[in-house]
Amino acid sequence: MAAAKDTGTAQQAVVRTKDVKKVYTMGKVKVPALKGITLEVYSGEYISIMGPSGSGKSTLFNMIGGLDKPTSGLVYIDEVDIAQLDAFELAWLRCRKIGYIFQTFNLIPVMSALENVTLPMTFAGLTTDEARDKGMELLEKVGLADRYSHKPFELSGGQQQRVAIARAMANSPSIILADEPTGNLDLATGKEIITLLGEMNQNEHVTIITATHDIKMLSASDRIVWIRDGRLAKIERREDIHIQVGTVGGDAEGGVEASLRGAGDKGEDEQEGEPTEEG
Amino acid sequence: MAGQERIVERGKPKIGRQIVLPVGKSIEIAWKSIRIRLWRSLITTSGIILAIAFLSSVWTTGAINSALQKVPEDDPNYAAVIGVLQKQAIAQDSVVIRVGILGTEASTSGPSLASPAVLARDSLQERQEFSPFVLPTRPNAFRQVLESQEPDEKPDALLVISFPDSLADPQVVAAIGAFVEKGGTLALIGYEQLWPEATDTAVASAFDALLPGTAGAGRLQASASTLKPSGHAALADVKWQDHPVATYLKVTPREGAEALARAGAEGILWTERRGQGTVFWYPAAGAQLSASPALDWVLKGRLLVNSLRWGAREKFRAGVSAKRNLWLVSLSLLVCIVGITNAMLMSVTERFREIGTMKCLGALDSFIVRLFLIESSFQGAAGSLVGAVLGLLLAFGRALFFYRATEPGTGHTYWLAVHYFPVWRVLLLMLVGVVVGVILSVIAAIYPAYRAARMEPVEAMRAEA
Repeated sequence: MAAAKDTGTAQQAVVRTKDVKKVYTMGKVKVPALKGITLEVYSGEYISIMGPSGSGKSTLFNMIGGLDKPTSGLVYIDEVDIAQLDAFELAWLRCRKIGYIFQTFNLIPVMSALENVTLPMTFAGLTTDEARDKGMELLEKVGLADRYSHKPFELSGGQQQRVAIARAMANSPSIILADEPTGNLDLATGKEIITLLGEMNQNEHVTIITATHDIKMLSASDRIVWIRDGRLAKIERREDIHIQVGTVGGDAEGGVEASLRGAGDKGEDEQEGEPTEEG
Repeated sequence: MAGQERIVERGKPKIGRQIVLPVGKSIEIAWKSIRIRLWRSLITTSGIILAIAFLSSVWTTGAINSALQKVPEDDPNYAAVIGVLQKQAIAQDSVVIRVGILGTEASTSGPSLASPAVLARDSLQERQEFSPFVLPTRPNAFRQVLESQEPDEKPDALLVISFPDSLADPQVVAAIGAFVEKGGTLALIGYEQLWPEATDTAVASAFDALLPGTAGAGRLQASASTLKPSGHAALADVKWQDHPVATYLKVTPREGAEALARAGAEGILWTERRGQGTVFWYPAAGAQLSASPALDWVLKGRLLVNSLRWGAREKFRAGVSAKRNLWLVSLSLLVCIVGITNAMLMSVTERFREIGTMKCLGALDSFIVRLFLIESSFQGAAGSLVGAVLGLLLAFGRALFFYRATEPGTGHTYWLAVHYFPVWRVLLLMLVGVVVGVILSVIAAIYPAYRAARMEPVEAMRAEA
């Protein structure tokens, strides 16, 4: 099934990075976070960017989402170099092309669930009535239609993240960027969120890019991009993981761990601990 | 939903331009959160409330003060108002009445006794609002001090004891006359030289010149109609609020001060307006004034003190507010600016994450700035309104307590702050206060909002964490 999807969309790179580098200047010290990453993400894919803390995966994630500017290198979204965009075009891009999901949910605390979902629609110029109807539809999709008037603090973490997913889908984006979407959730809730993201990917054909070290994510991903020490360590397809799961035997987590070890061994930095321990 | 169509649509490598939302939409979004936010950020709002409350209380106090200061002399409550203002000025130590004393050269009764001028000076010194000093007796030096334009040298009131010899000089008399005409206060003590038997015609003519109302009389015909009390409430003129407040004894000067004291009178006094000033005359008896209980009686009693205060009432009227209020108003404005700027800085910085999120959702920088300006103006308006009312109530409560007068006869209390409350002026000041609060809130929010809006979303979200 995944293969079928890939063949259908393989030619369209919705996100493309070309030798992206990022250097943070802390006082007089220059810390390189990304040392040149070239990556293509195809339309309709479910991609996980994996890597230990400090590996630069969040930085890469932010570059892809147009949330931060690279020191050098280029980021293309729909074949448009986002460095060339002015503030209005960038806002348009963030509003309609990309939906963002955060580890800390980042709902606007004073707005109700529905108001949170309709806010991007308002930015896109929808009338209040249109936005409300579409917002209710989306809340229904994430199973929270009955809690539309609740404020974020009246919702559980999982429910807040569902609202955030509905909000990310507000303007039917082509990409959803999820930064550690399960990082603040317990195991069962995290699984629900992953399932929901998977459903969005399947049903709405939205490209999903997550930065995570949650191994539960792997089974849902089409491809896994391993980042290590600011460089691309390895790109794996889901089929490859399944093969490894087969060889290591039985349960998914063990298989994943095996694949992580493989990634670690191929990386330049041998001394670094196992990436899975970071989570 | 036609999924295929949307895929095609997404495939277009085309970027649009984000629309600028109309102001109404920004207000709508801002309004959604304002009610909740006002309660949540009570600390932020309290900064504005306190600042404007301070401003409003200072302004209200000033307005009530100046309303009382403007009470005209023909107002039935005039004496009470002046009494209250005097009390205020004396309590605040904001008025000093400089009293120049002209006395007889020295005591004639013996070397051990101080001169009447020195006695009077020491006696007045005990009152904090008086700054008494003995004037030189030589005519030229005397005139130099009296006509001085230096506020530190020029006396506000002149106390002349027992018609000293220097009054024989017509130039001295003319100088005193001019001093009174320009608004000075003259208090004269003693009368025996004017006795019909007295032969000192120079002094008699000086008296005639200074108190023209008695000119040519040769002898005193004091009666209820010519004896007037000082402005003090306890001795108030005629009646106050239709209640008699002072009992007059019909006396002749011949009976003397001692006789009055025996009769239980509080004082005897002749007042006369002259030009802008006032002349008070105490026909106190006693050949040897320095040793006389009569002088003692005048000095120690309330009468002279009240007369001198009454003579300086314009100074009291102006003195309460002038410099102190200017200082307070500038201070309160400063507190206001600092308080509100700090409050707005806090309120914006604590919401960096929210700003980052909004930018991720497609908010333009201009929308973020506008949102914050709208919110801060609402917050400023609500906070200022509460603060203005709070400050008004505080100032009014204070004025109610300080500006009240009790009628001596009936014990009835008059709430002068209510009676003379400058409603329209205070309302106008409240309005100005609210406008100041809103403007300051908006100005104070511009910089942090602008800075927050210009941040990359990632920075904004990181800043909060």
